[in-house]
Amino acid sequence: MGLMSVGPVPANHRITHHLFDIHRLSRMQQEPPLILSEDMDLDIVQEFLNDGREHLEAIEQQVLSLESDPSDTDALNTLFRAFHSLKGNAGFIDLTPIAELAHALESLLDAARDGRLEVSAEVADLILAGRDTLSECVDKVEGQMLGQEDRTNCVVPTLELKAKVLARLDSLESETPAAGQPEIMDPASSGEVDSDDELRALFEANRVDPETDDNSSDSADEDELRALFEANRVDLDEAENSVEKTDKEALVNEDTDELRALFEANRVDLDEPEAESAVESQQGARRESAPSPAPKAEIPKRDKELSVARRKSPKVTASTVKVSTDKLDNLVDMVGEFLIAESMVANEVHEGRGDRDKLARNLLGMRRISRELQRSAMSLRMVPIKGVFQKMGRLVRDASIKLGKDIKLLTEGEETEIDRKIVEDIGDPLMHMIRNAVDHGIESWEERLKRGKSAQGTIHLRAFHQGGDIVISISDDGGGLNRRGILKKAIENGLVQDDESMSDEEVFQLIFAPGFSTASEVTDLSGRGVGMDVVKKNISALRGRIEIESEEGKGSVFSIHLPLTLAIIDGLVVRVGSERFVLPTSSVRECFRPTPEMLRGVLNRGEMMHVRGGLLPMIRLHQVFDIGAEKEDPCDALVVVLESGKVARGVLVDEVLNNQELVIKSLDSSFRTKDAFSGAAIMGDGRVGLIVDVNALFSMN
Amino acid sequence: MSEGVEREMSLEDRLVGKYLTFRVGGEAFGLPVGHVREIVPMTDAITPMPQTPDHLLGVTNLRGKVITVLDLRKWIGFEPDKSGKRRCIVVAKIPSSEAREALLGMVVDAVDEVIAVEAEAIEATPDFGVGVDTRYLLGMAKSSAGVIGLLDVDVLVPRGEIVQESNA
Repeated sequence: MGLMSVGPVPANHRITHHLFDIHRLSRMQQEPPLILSEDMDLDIVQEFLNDGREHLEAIEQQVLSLESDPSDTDALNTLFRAFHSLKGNAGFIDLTPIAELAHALESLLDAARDGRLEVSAEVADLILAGRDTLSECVDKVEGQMLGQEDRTNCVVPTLELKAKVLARLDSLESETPAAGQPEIMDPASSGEVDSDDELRALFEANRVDPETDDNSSDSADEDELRALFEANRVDLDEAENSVEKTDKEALVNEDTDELRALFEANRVDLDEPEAESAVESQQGARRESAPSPAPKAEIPKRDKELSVARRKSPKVTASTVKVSTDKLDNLVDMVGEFLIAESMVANEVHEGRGDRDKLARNLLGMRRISRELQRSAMSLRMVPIKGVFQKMGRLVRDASIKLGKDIKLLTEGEETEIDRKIVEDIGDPLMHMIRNAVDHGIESWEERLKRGKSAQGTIHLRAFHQGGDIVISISDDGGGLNRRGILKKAIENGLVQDDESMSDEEVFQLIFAPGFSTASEVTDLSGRGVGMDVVKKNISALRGRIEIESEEGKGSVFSIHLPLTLAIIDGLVVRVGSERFVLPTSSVRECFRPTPEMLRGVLNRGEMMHVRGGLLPMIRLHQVFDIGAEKEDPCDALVVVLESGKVARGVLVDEVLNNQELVIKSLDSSFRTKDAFSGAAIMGDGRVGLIVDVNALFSMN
Repeated sequence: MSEGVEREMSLEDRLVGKYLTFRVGGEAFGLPVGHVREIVPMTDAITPMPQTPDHLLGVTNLRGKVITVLDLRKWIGFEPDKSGKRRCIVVAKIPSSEAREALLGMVVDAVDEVIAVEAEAIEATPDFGVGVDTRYLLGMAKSSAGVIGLLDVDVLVPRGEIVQESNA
């Protein structure tokens, strides 16, 4: 709005002055500095960063989908819009290098939209390179905002890439002399249209005073008219798209770029109906593509509301999350219900009627609501795993090109919702495993053909629910794991004794052992040892586990089992002496009271039990934790069989108290004891219960 | 300002301020009020943590937060309290490796008052000789109530860790 209030500066003068600037800049041909001005409103910058990241992510996805299906016009349009918005936003806060590069790429995509350019692998590379550079720029800007980067001297090289993009565009112009919309894109000048130029022209166009617009459009030179026209054309696209978008998904955190575009579109419409028609009449040939006023009639009101809403948004510099309105409405409803239920209970108590039945009934209702409330609140933490999966697409693409392999990544279950924290932390391990699959899992195409497989390898990335878990599975149709090779290596490293009785699963789990990671030597066993111990550690930290299935020559499946949420644990509460402990129910296989026969005749291998023909090592919890137990004789006590992966142990406890859902509280790391406990929970009586980390418990024994 | 002067000033400068004073084993100690979150009565509801050093009593529930409780008597090396008097827990904010500030409950015999410690009243911790651990003291302060040992919260935490690891 501020832009419009600027006095009636002669438009002509402004533009000429500006063009002069541009020419001077382009003559200098120096990398323009990327500097965030000191007096910039941090909120706006933060918004730019948030939006920018989102657009960059979208760009990556869309390029990949465009590559697999070049006819995907939706993807093309999204790409175009993303660059356009980036350009606009960057221009808004004077980040010229970003705006210029984005503009060049936008022009490239415009050519693709017009059908003048095919999105070949080369063009895709160019766009991705542009995305990466812009991403670097965005990081730098954030660094400057947070004071981690030098504000006076920050340069991200963009000129070379920009020149490449423009050269690609120029080559187009000479190949096909402007087939699509010749009047709009003047071949002679379009290559030189600078982002700044266009942006400022846009502003100029908006500034034109309604009273004087006949005058100004008459006297305007061709540049101005072209700029004006460009502005309208682009904005119409934006407006249509954004209207569509806002209708489709009513998200709490509205896409602010779209809003801004919408806003700009309206500003042009409102102020310049005559100017527009003047342009049209002067250059009648462009009428087909000129904006038709009809679809915009609805926009202004809506726009105003939205822009007000935007301004009210709180000053956040922390990370934000998009939440669907359904979830939010549900939560607010629940809070409302809860308040009513609470006042009912309070009434009952205050009036002292002492109707216990009624009180109990009300309390029951309140409990129901509080459960629902909890579930509702938890669901806010859940986000689709989509974002993580999409990153993998880029990874597979780049890695397979580098290795000269032809690998296809299939994804499934992208909408599966998992805890936000897991989404954040699963990326690295997953990336590592996918890279391994590309690098070592899938054979070279010569090898594949020799084995009678198709030359193209496939990696299948899936997410789905199984029991109470979320499972992310990575399967490849590569060479599989080499049991003998792994065993040999493990024996060399002293990880295991020469033990042929190990199950395949146990052997495969050896690749997660810390000693198993030496990159060059493991390639001969399809090399899945590189840093897998770190992967395992990261997954364990999320209370997850990895299972491996593999068939030599056919491929392998790595399944990551993760809890649905990190905030709540389903726990089996057990008593040992005077202490209570929480065992994760997901790890509990069974409970029983051992009979004397079970304990008989096992020598020299620690305490073991015979259970259904197998041997089960026993852990006396009171010994491990050094507390007095009530029942020393296992036959008086209870055995809880716990599993971690495929390893099972019988844990001796005095009593099993109950099974309940508990909210996990973290223990302060300064006082964490050898990680025997993964956390704590407040029990029904207000005391703290410790949650046993099953993995750690097994390794302690 | 030369570095020497700066360093010379720093002990007193750092220590000047308001302290919450409390009694542990007949001695008076002080904790900067900025580190004090609240004072709560001693509770029975402390869950012992297996395999931790003796002076760590365990964890307790402070209105939904799980906090570690440390017995200052045991930590400093006094005899356990046999008077049976009700003690209190001073809940202190401590530096934490995690992003959020951590809370540590310190069991003390009794809480006295909040005093302002002036620069003139501050003295460096005297050398008590071999066998007396004074690392946990930032310095001493004279006051009307006697000499007060100024506790170093930063030391309380690493010490817990060190003992713990040697135990493990």
